[in-house]
Amino acid sequence: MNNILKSNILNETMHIKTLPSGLCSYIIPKKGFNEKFGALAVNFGSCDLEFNLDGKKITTPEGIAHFLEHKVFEDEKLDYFNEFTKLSGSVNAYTNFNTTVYYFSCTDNFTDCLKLLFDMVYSLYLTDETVEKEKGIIEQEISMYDDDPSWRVYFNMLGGLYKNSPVRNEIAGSAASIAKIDQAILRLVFDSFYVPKNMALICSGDFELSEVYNIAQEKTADLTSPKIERIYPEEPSNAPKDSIKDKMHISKPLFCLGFKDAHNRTDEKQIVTTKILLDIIIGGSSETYNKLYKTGLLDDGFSLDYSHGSCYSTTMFSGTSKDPDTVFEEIINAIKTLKETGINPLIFERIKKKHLGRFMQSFNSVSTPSEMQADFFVKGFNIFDLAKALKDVKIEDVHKRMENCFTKDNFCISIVDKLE
Amino acid sequence: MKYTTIKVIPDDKFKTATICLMLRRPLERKEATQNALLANILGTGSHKYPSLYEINKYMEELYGAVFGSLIVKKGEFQIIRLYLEFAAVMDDKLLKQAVEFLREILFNPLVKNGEFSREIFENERNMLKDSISERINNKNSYVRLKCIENMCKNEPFGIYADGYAEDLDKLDPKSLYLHYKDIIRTTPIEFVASGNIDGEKFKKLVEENFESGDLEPVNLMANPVIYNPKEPALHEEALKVNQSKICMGLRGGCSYSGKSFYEFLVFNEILGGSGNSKLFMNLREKASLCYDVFSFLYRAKSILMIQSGVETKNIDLAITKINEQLQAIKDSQISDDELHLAKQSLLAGFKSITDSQGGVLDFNYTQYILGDSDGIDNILKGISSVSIPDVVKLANLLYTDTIYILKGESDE
Repeated sequence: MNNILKSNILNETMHIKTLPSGLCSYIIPKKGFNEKFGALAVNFGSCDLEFNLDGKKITTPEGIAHFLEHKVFEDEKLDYFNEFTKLSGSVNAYTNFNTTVYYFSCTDNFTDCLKLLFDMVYSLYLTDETVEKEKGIIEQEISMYDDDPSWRVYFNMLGGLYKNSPVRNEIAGSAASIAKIDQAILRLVFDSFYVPKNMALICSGDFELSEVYNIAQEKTADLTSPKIERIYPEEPSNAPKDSIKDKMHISKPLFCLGFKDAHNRTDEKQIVTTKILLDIIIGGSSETYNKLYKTGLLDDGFSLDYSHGSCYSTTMFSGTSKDPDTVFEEIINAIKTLKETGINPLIFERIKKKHLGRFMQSFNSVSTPSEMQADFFVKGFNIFDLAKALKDVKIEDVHKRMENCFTKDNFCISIVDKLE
Repeated sequence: MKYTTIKVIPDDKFKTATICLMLRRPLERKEATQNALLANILGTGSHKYPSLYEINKYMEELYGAVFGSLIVKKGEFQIIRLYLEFAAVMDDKLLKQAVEFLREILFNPLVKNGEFSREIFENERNMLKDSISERINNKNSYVRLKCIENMCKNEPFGIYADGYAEDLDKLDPKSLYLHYKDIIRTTPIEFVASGNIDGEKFKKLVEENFESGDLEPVNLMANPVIYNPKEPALHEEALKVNQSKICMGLRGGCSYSGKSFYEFLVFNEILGGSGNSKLFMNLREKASLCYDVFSFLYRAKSILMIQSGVETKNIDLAITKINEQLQAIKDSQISDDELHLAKQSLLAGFKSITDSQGGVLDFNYTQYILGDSDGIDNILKGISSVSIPDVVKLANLLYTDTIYILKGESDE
């Protein structure tokens, strides 16, 4: 496949091409910028715990994808951080529910950085000693997140919403689960998932496209991709718990109210309709938000989000409040009222305008569109699809979304209260 | 008499334009809390847009423009910053609307009978009080704030720019309004704008909407206070958390511009500025003591902070290892490779400043208020010329002033 996408509204282009090895590349030219960005995204995240490989079922410990991400940076001879820095680049990575992304940004030596990224991601150096050493580092990382109230309130909510889905687990796993990780299992998942057909190359900046294709072709020519079948547990459509409470050393309660979708098949249209719907219900220009703000029940830290992937599809309202239960009631009432009255077309148009402008804003940077694309590639659509969906969205689409987004038994409110 | 200064850095590779309007005040306890509350009240409504509801609606009409009114602490300045970022490519009219909006917000706050609206005042006061007590929610920034508070207890930099709960109790809508009037009368307005913007058109709009005259720059910068304790002051606070946090503050002998600043940058980079640094390599990669360990500069105050999160039983070991790395630099244990890497990383950072509007705005404004005329090219040259003996010399002038420890006490 070789495709050039153009967006008139954005005045941007994206080149999509699948290389002979099966690696899919997405390139967004950004003329006039000094920064250049390159990423290799692996369709492998914290939710990918079970899979069939050559007819054999493999089960892995929680936190394996994140652990592997740490180890990919290690090499017998090279210190990759140093090597990138020498080339004026800086390299990093992250793991989320569905993806592991390795990326660099640089000002000079883009092609050398890109070669280095391929070398790093397609090789794995392990010893018993280095695997054990990593456990100490990751335990501290887990411990750090555990002390973060906004992280805690979020994962508690996912635990209430989902019964079996691996999205319930912390991305880094737990001290107990990572204790089970060894060389053999790391090597197995590396060989199974870190293969061209399961990955994408995403680049943006001011450079020659042909150079990128040449490098990608050369670096993946000898690689084959085994056949993997992922296994995800069955998940009921209702939430097993509608409320979860926790306590931490904080000054004001945090809350996270989530609604889970019965189906995890998300497309760009669902993203657009959900985000518009959320703003209409309780965004900055809604009456409900302003009432709660004026009475001191919500502050400007209140946020709305829609998060989705292979094992989850969740609409969220989160923030801090001295009275989360009242906020929760007000949100439910606002949804109920909106279902009765329907959406005001003027409000719909205004919010749509807002999202168009905000989406455009993300193209101010070299890295942001690429980061979005790295997230979307595993979900089967791209950022230009999203731009089109945003332009084409109709009020009826949002009405339709409202009908299936909120039901009686698909929510959970998670609260982290203060320790007395 | 009113003064405005305008700096515009246009670049049409951006889709949006950003305008920042700054009111720069000396950081002083007697007005810090008033300014903090004032920034919030100004951002919440005006005569034309009497509530957040109206403001947010208007911002949506402007294609999702982003507006904010907040406090920035830079060195020993407290800055009230109003900013507006808007999708300039969507509509030519947006620039004019943006400038007029900022004028409205600054000069037309909701005032009745010589005082701020009581309702808004009370709500914003409570919210600010909450946000002050919420400092503890983020342990990394909390330990840093406590370290600075103790380290700079006799200097303006030790003052919290977002205010004090006990000072909030002393304010009322009338006294705050009088303070506002005073601010408007005595503070020059500084504009910095960047992005997809017509510089001449913008200057003309500012002249039409804001009174202007010649600016007489006032040096608001306090003299740096250098203490030289024999031993670092050690503070400990116990908290029910899993992970303990360490923050160390260092100072001495460095400046915020010129050669000494470039040396300070390189020193920080070698010590803890990146994944190649001595702290990262030795505490994390070799000793497996922590996930995060890093150092950074408060440029305008010329101090350096080191932070890490470790298990409670490893606090002393981590501090020993941090000190070993500081000593190593003082003893000139720096390889040519380390120096080269540090410089490469700094150069890349400075070269990409022009790729973000936030970077452009912050860099230009910082240079302006510090009276530093160096452009990015000069800074690149300056960093390149730093040598190992330069770094060693600077390292030997630095000393640890304060160590703040947030000691985790688990339930078990």
